[in-house]
Amino acid sequence: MVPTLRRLVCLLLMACGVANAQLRDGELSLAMSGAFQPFSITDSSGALVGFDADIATEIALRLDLEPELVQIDWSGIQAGLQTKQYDLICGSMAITVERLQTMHFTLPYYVSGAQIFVRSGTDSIRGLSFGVTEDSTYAAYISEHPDEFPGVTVLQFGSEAEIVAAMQSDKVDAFVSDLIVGGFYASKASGVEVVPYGGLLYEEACGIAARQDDAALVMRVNGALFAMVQDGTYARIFNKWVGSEPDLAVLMSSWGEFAGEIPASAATTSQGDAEFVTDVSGMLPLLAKGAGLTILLSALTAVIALFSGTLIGVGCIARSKIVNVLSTGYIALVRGTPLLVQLFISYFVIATLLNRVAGHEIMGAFGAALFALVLNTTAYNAETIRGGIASVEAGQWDAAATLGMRRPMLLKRIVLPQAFRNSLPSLGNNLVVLIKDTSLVGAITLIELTYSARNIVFQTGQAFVPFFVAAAFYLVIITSVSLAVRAAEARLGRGKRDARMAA
Amino acid sequence: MSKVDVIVNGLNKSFGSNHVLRGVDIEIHAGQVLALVGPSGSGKSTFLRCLNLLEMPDSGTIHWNGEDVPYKTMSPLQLSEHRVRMAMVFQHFNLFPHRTAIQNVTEGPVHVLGRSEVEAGKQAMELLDRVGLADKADHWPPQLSGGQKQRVAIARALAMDPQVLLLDEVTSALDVEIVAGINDLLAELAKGGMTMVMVTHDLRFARSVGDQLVFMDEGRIVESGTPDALIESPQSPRLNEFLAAVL
Repeated sequence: MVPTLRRLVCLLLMACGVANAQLRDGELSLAMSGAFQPFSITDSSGALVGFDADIATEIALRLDLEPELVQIDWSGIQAGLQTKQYDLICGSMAITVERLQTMHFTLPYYVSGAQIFVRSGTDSIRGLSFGVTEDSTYAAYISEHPDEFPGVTVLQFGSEAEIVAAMQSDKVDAFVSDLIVGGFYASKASGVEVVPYGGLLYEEACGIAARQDDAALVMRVNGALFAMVQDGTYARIFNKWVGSEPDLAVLMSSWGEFAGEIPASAATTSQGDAEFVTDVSGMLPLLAKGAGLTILLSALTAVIALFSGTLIGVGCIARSKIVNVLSTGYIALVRGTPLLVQLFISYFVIATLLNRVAGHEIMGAFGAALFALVLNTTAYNAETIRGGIASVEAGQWDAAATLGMRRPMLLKRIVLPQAFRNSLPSLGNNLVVLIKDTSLVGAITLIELTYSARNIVFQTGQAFVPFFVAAAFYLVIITSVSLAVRAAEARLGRGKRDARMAA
Repeated sequence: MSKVDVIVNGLNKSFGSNHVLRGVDIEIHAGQVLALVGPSGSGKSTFLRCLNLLEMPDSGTIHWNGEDVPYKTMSPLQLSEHRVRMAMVFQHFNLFPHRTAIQNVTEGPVHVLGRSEVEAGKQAMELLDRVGLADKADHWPPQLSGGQKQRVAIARALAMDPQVLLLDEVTSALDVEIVAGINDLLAELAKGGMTMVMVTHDLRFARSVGDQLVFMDEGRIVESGTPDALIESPQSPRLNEFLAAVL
């Protein structure tokens, strides 16, 4: 294995070309998944902690830069780097030849290995169903080595915590993960004993990834890493999170001839001092914080999309052919594409372009999420309001026109109020769908209610309680909204109701 | 009473391949009541709607006090002004359901004519009183009976101070015992000198208030004259058939 690593390191160093680091003013932002205990994880206050987080912070400080840690789902972590949402990925990313095609890597900052985990008592992996994290080296390894995994089926998950939860509920029989990370989550499994199976499949070296044009930054990070190993900081951080001494000899050998002298024994420190969620009451602040973001995004979107949806809805019945075609085309386009795709386009493409044109960040993750949600909800509201307008009797148009009303006034005073009243139940339904759709913004670094629950699952390795508590939060929010919509319906429909009572 | 108010010549209107009006000529005289009768589908309502340009005629001319109404080239404002001087009452009332009775009446005066709320409110109360609904001013349309709704609709039309009142089968959707009350109200308006064009199936009422009776069939005017003359000595076989069927 070591020769392979050495070859990789050579590739890395050869690739270091022109200096072209573009850092935001005095800031170094580093991304990690937050789903990889004990390397990157969130604590009970929602902050990123863990081995990767400490290494990332230490590197930034040593480069005289303000560290900014970004949590992003593993599935989007490379796209975020390429589109300059952050400067580096410091998230236990294994260095592979494929990844070197698109990114630069620093020297390995730890060496670990891939390990199969199974239920205790399993004596053969033939035909088992395996869980792996999406877009991981483990997934690639299984598909490239069918002879070592005869007849297995593979299911992809967002994190090790979710794989172990799937094992508890018999969705999968086994999984491949990092030795340390898999071991952590395996120990948290309840109702099933999960144990390593066989030896390491292979060693892997994790590096910090940068964009290909950021060679100078990679050099500086290498320097910082080297100094951290030299002065014992590295060993202290490793011990703090992994609970054992790092095998510096292995790390150094992975660095090849750049190893330099191996530091004397590192200072031993206590275990990680971060506080994690342990029970339901500990979850509540995190979930409440997530719910706050869910409500904020939903409320802002709902208000904006009510106006924009009305505009587009009226556009659908405009007498101008162009406005007509544009409005109906907009609805067809937006309703014909999934919100998740719209979120990715908004975050990775539109925000990136805007920020590049402006020269500084004018649209962050929140702006990108709001943009995509407004875009999406506008289309649904427009369609609803178009239907509401169509449901207003032709006689209303006639009556208003004979009073001499011109079209804008006729729409504003006579048709739209009735259209709104008619479409209020559907608008309320759109709002409920919107609230639930905000759960997708977790994919672009925003820790809303669902992702808060996932973060707790990543911390504790326990899947059931956090998701049920999150569901309860949603239920409360959505029930309140539904009741408010009902009340509004009752208020607007007073004439109808009174008539029914009088009859 | 000889001053001519509205002269229509050669009015044509098609909906797709359906030729609804085939060269209609009508003179509407100030202060008189013109009653339009004919079988359903004869084009009476379409004629009324073309008169106030709710529907655009395909061809033909409309003269208002001697002035051509250039309906092909009118601006939205001119269209609005044209409609205001010819208020219309509909068979199905078409009250605004999200406005109370009095708000239905003040809607046009306040928002189209630009009158103050106070002035329009005062006028609306007078009109509601005149149609016998002063006590229902704050009721919502669904709380009113059919006859009451039609009275509000008439008040709403009168509030615009129209020079011509267009009535499109205003009693057809009402119960028989309510029709008489509405007819009394219309007769009273006619006596007061209001110029009216009414599409109706009620020949007896047309005869009692009408100054001129026009019989339409298949988009054409078959006969016109005084109600007595037409009803007592119809000239055309079509009118004969029609009278035999409805009387």
